[in-house]
Amino acid sequence: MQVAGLPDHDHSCFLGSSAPDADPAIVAAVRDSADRGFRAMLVVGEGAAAKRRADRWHALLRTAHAAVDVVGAQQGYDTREGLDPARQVAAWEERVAAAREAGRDGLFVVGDMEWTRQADVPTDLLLDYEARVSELHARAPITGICDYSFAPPRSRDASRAASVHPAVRGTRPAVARGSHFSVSRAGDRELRLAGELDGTGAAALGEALLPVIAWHRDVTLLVEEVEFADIAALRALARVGTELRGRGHRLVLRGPSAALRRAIVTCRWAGVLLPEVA
Amino acid sequence: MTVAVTLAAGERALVHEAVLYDGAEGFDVLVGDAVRTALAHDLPVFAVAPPSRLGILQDIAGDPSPSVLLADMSELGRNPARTISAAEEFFARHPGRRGLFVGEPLGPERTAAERAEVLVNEAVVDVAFADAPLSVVCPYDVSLLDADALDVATCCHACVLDADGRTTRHDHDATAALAAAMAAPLDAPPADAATLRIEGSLHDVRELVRLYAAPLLGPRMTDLVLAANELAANTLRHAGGGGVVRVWHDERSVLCEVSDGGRLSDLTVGRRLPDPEAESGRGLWMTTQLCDLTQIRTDEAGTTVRLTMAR
Repeated sequence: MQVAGLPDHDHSCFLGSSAPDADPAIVAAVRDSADRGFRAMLVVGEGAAAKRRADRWHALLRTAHAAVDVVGAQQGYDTREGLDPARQVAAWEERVAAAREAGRDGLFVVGDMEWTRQADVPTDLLLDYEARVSELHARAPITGICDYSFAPPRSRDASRAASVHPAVRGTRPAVARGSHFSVSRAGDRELRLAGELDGTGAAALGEALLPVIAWHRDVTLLVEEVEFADIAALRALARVGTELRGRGHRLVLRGPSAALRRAIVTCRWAGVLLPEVA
Repeated sequence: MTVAVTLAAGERALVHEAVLYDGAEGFDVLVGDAVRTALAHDLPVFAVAPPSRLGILQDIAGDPSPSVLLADMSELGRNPARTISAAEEFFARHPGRRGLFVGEPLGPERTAAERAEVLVNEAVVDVAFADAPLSVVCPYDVSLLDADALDVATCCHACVLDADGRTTRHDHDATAALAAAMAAPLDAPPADAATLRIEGSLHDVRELVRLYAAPLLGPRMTDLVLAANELAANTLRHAGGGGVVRVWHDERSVLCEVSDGGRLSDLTVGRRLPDPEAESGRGLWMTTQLCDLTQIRTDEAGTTVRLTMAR
């Protein structure tokens, strides 16, 4: 379920070392949630660096005149036994319910994910957790920013974590690049495809696209800059579109060329990729 | 008449019949009879005919109905291989019912290469629909076609109804006929064809075709580029590389072919509707959808697929 009125960036990944308030969209998210009467919660990691990040977020939350609950990562994520995605998501649901029982309209959370690096949480488990959180955000009044701005050696994990979030703040990581094509994050719930998509890059393309299924949202692919797409590439797109449709969402191709549209229609994938002409 | 009888009797097996008719009046009598019989029994009808015969079928069919689909052979059947998958698509919407498929594939305007593909197509019909409860009528107009064309009609049908209403039957091994047709050599490409070995880069194949065809085909060049890309991708995927792409042109057409050392195990591929869930099989089919002619030849020496686009 999509909750009416939630801001577009309802489940964001924050990457990079820039100050959060440098991103107007984050400020907007904070203010929007405060205006909606959401309860604000800041989950703070361990150590000096985490403390500095928490100070920045706290200041930002305070600029929105939001009352902020500040908790440690051990409490916020129940880190004693590592990460249990199902249990953790259930905990968020309980907190949303508690916020609403307290007369608030929902919950706004900024969570420092540094602890997952310290606890050496397996990447696949982390991606599973974030996908479940996206699904929760699609059906419950919760807005969240997951702070993955910690440094290497887990930067690749942070980049992968970003791929399963509908929105990315701060530094947008490269998603995929082949010899003649590229996939990059555009706006919220958007990827930009460019160049020539063919069978030699289809595996990389599929790998770059599959995480969007975990967004649990309608997804837009900006394809104005796609100069060519063959059947293998279209199959990768159709697979994502079919998966999204099975979850009640849509894959929207924005700006397909006449040649691309013709190829899609001829391949009988218009129902998934160009429903307006199917 | 054979088809009308089988339609009326609720026959379950495939009946594939050539109907040699004489002009519009003969078409109305011989082919129209089959269509009327099918409609009288509420059976689905899919017919692909030249524009000069479509009007007759439209008059017989009457008001539009989901059970009747009429198509122009000069468009849908410009590449004759398209008609089979179109028929599969149509009859899949009417499962469990006997159907009538009318396809007049051969007019006097067909080139020798197209005639050869009509021959392949007729053999594919026998194999593709072997287990289908389908009546297939292939009209051939004796008033327009020469003796060679009519030979095509008679040699590839087990049952032939002539213009005088006489039915002739003969033994016909569809599988052997298809294998022979698919092994028949194509004319050699010219020595000065633009040639490129396929060595891993589909981009290079596309560039070759794009640069060669753009001044000759205009916007249709993009269809040939995509089709050539699919052939080269098949070579990389199924034949382990080592293929060659050639492009050339004559007064009427731009031609592009890809040859490699692989051999097709399914001789109907490219003409039949691909399995939507399958990982492969769509590339060759796509070439038939995009190009004016697709010639597939395969034997133990390798496989060649030649694409033709009218200039």
